[in-house]
Amino acid sequence: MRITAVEVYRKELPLTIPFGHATSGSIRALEEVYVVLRTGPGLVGLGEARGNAHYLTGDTPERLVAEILRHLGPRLLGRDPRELHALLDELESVVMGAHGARSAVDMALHDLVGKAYGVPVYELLGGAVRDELPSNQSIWYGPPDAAARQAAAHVAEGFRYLKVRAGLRPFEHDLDRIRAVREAVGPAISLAIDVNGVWEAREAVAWLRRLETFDLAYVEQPVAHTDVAGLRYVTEHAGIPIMADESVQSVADVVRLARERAADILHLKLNKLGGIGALWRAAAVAEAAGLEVMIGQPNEGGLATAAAAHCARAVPAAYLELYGAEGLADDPATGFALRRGRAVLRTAPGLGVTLDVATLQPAGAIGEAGRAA
Amino acid sequence: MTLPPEAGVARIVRLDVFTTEAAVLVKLTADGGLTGWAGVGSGPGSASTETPAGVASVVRHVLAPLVLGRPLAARGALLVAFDRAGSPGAATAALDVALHDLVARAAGVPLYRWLGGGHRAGVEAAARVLAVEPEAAGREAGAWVSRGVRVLVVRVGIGSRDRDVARLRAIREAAGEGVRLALDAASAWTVREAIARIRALEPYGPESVEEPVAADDVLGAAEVARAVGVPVVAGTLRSLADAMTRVRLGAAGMLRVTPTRVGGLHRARRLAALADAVRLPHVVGQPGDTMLATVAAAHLALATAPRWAELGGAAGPADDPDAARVHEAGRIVVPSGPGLGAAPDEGRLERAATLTA
Repeated sequence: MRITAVEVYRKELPLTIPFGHATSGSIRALEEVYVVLRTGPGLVGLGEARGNAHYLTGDTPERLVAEILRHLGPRLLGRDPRELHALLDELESVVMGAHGARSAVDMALHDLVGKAYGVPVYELLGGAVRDELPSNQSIWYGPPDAAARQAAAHVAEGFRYLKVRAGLRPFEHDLDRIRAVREAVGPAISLAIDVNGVWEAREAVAWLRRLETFDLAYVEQPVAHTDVAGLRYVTEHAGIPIMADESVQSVADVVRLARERAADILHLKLNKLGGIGALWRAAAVAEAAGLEVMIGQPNEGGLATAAAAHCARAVPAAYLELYGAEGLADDPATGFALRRGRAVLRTAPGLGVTLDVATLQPAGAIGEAGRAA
Repeated sequence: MTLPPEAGVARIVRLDVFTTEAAVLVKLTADGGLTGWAGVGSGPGSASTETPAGVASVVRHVLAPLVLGRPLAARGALLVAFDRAGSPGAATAALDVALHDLVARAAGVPLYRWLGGGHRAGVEAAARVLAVEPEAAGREAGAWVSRGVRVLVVRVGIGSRDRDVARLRAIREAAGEGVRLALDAASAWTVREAIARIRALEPYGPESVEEPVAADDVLGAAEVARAVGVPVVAGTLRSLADAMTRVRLGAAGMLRVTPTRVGGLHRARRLAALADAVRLPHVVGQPGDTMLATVAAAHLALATAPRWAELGGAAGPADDPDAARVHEAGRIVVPSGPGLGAAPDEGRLERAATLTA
């Protein structure tokens, strides 16, 4: 089995409700990049990465397309996707960083191998450790009563894990919103907050003391992603578990945070780490260091979300964040759904996702010509 | 946790347990009739201190009820359930390897392929020099090298420092400069002895030294690692946490991954992944307890790309010594065919139990 063509596509997926948090600005559409790998026997491997993830990974759609077509794709042509370890090692060494692009390619390779063996991708990762995939949901900025209504609506839908976006100034606005949400959902719902890195370490510790009464499961990225010393300071001094998200940009970051015990929980995402293989490795490091993980994602389409969900079935994780494909007006991927607060995968080989390629904009192809046109 | 029955999903319907004097063999059968085999050595000389009867008893009474009737796809949950039930590493490893054999057979590919291996320059097969006297050790080393072996494992800490030095010098002279020498001290030394004796051996260019001090003396290993120029190999790792503790304390410059010690191939892969992540080399080792464990470790090595692999052989005639030849001209090879590519002669084995779903 040989890879004969690497095709890259783009598509903008408008959001029915735009979102924004402390660092993203207002996002009205997801600018997705898709990879389609074709093989001799006619198998197709599918991958996706978020293009406009500039605020999270520095990725842009143009950069992903160029990295795939110029650097990663040429390594795949003529190769057997089943030689997965060697291929992934090569892709890691061929271009510095490029985690979003590598994630899309790695996903497509796993999809191909699963299809070649007739098994879902989670089986390649060691088989299922869980069958249910309960996702959290986000409560965005807004007045306390609106946040409380949104939280209650999510709970009514079936969500049991909620996280409130925080990091507004003055802090009392966060405090009021968090209090309103906790009062609205009651004590049985797991509640957390995400600060997206906008606090300073000492104020974070002071403010988290004032939040202890709300029984928060964790506080995500309280300080700037580059401030590992600050993160560690907060972790050592706060009474609430600290989750690192933006501070985890690579497997090397995971190792550093684990060695320094700078966080209690690590938020692992495919597009930050560079794909399924890298996430699997990162999870081993976390477990070795006694840290919990969240398997999550940025807002992105159903294909990339399905890949994260496969990881979530096979890798022990304390928390899941798999709502990222909600509210997309025009997702070309089918085979993944969020029902009653749970991620649902189609039972099929590979990622179990089909992609309506005809609706995508070709962004270039290498290998056997003509298909992408 | 429970998984609801899914139509068309292969389930484990039968478990056969066999025992020999020094090993336990397990055969799993799925509802389509496919089978998966595993064997783990048990008792002295193996990675497990349990007796074969003890391991077989755990498999029959503790693990079998957790496995029978369950889908193959829930392998991860099974490992978690085995841990909760307090299963020792050897029994868990037996089931884990048999499950791997089964799923790779179902996919119709050799196990190393299923594990993502292939297209590497190949994995060096290390050979162990058994002779103690310098002259005989040199001859043995020369014989291995003439057969293509490029990595030799040398026991040190036998007798005086001078005897270790004389043995290593003879081996280096016979093997030549290009051959890599891996020292195994098998917990022979105190910290002070280890530092002095490793320094005395450094002129002969050893590439690593395994287990210089007592296996559980992590701080001692760290002291040795700081004092000598040769990477210290953590040789008896049982878990990811054990490995990370050694990494954080600077007690290990290399990790040895022994599938039957850590509870099978899945955990061995995760340990190798940890080694990759922390940028330490790993080696795959498997004592010569059973043909099936040897072959399983060979498949693992072809997938995780260790610095080298030191694999044992077969336990006895029923265990098919021919199939356990996993070296060829200094490289690790595996039998062709799906899964492990090898199975014992069932007719020659003593059946301890047959359990069905």
